[in-house]
Amino acid sequence: MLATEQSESRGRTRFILKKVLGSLLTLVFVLVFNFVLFRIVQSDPIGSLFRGRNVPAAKIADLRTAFGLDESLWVQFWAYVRQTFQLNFGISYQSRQPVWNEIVSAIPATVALVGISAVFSAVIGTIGGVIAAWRRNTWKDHAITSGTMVFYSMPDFWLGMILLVGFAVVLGWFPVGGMSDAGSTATGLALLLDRLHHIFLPALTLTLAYLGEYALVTRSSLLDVMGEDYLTVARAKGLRDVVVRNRHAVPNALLPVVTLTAINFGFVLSGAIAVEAVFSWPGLGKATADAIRGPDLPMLQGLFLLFSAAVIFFNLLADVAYAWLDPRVEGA
Amino acid sequence: MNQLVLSVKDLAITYHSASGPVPAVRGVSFDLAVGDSLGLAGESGCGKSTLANALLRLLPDGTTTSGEVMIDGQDLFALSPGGLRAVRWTTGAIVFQGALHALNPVQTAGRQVREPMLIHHTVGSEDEARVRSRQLFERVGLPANQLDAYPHQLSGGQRQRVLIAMALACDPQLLIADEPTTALDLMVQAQVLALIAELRRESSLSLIFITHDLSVLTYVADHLAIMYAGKIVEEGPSLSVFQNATHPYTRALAAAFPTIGDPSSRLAPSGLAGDPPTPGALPSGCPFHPRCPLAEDRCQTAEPDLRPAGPGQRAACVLV
Repeated sequence: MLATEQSESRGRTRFILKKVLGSLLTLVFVLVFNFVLFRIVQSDPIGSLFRGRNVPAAKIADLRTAFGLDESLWVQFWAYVRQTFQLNFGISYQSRQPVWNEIVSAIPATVALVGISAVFSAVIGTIGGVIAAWRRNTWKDHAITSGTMVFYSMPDFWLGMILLVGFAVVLGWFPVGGMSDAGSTATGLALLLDRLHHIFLPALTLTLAYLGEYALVTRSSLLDVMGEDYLTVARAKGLRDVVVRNRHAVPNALLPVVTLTAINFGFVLSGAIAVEAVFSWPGLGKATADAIRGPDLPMLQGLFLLFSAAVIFFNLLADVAYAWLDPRVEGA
Repeated sequence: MNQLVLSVKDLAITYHSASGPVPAVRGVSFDLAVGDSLGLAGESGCGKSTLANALLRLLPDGTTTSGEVMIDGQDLFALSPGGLRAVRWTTGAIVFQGALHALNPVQTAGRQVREPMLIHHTVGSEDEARVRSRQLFERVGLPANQLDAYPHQLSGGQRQRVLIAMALACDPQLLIADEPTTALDLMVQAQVLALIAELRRESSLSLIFITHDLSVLTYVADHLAIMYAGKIVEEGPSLSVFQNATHPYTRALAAAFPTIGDPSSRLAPSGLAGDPPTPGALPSGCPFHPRCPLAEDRCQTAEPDLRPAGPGQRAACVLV
């Protein structure tokens, strides 16, 4: 027993170390790519700073020196790396505030909106997928599969607009945008209710948009598992149908869904760009949409790095969760 | 006559596929007394595994069955869902084929062995279940530390032993072994067979042993039933069926295995030409006639019933 346990935990530790190392390498690549990308895109940062206004050449030269743009690419690259580790991403063109401060202030709104939607879509979608598979080819299956398919194939910003027009503009049940009523001084419970009132439509949009993926992946994964012999064995043992499902079928079928959930959380920060823009939700997605319109290049550079880091981190989390849940993962 | 643990009468099982009905079992009858053992043999597709699964009503939804199965005096097809669950594993348990994914890959072997005891309350507590599973592992020759192993950490032979321990968990009266030695190497096969034979000697366990390997059956089964195209074509005491096969199919099956101690049979194994018929498209008359070396014209029209073919032996062939 000790021997197997030890070799097993050693196998898992090795597996996780390998994944951590891989993630760090990817992060380094992203760091370099982010630098190169914005050197290609941004041919004249000083010019875009003044947006075509007339500025004396001497002033431009001074600014070039001040921003370090007269240095070689290598010097610029090392400055970029050094400052990135100091969480210094430069100054936003639009707000004149440090990019990092702008990003940090937008994070809570996005985490709240996309976090809630991600949890709801994962839970409801997975349950729907389980019901559809377990009762396959019944009306329940057809209703769930075709219903989720409809939302899955809809562009999320379009769905958002329809809900916005229907429930906010025509019916007036919900506010048309933002995170709280303008000039509201509510506190405590009233503040919470106000926030919930505002978050409802964008959260519903994102939940509906992501629901389908979970339902369809869960359904097909569970259908695969349902063909396995160990389910016949479980039934032969005299287990109730619902126990066979919940103890032997669903846990095994959920392994790919765990990965999907973790990966989707990686896109939580960046995935809501269009929907946040539709509902004027003051999060990272709207910040990105605004920065693209600028274009506010330092802001975009900072956001890209953050989004990439989030995707890499949650991918790593998915791998670790998988190794934790599936004993078969050993240094694979 | 001994008390019957199992009595099967005219059991017919039809699957319904997209291309039409597939009669997998077409009228099978046999009795099994307490402590007796029956070997079921035939090529793949002859309906033997379907029959095994039907004995605990494990067939997929939408499968049609007719006939009667009495298990421990209860009418299997008349049981309520709760009654059926109570029969499963306590009256009859199945030893599934270990080479397949019969064990849940993400649960330890011990947990899967304990599960039926806890479901059927044959033990009072989780601790008792642990004690009993340790005893069962010892009984089937597995070290106790392998209770904590996951299926992928076990060899094929060890997995098969886990499946046997699992089947014995609730002390069933009837053990249905569905190809338990298939895909094991010869030495392990012999060990598993010896274990099953030993378990039978120790208790009044009744056994149905299903395989395509006729030579294995003479070792563990008192009676043999040879199946072809969903029917029993020959049955009787093991040795006499094996040595004095009367049905041409049984003879072909017996001849396909070399006789130990007779080198000439190893050098000239006699195979059986052709493939078994597809259950969805059976030939007319005797379903074996297209492959039968002795087939006559009348074999193409009428399907023979089982008729006496020696002491306690019956065969379904017009030539006996």
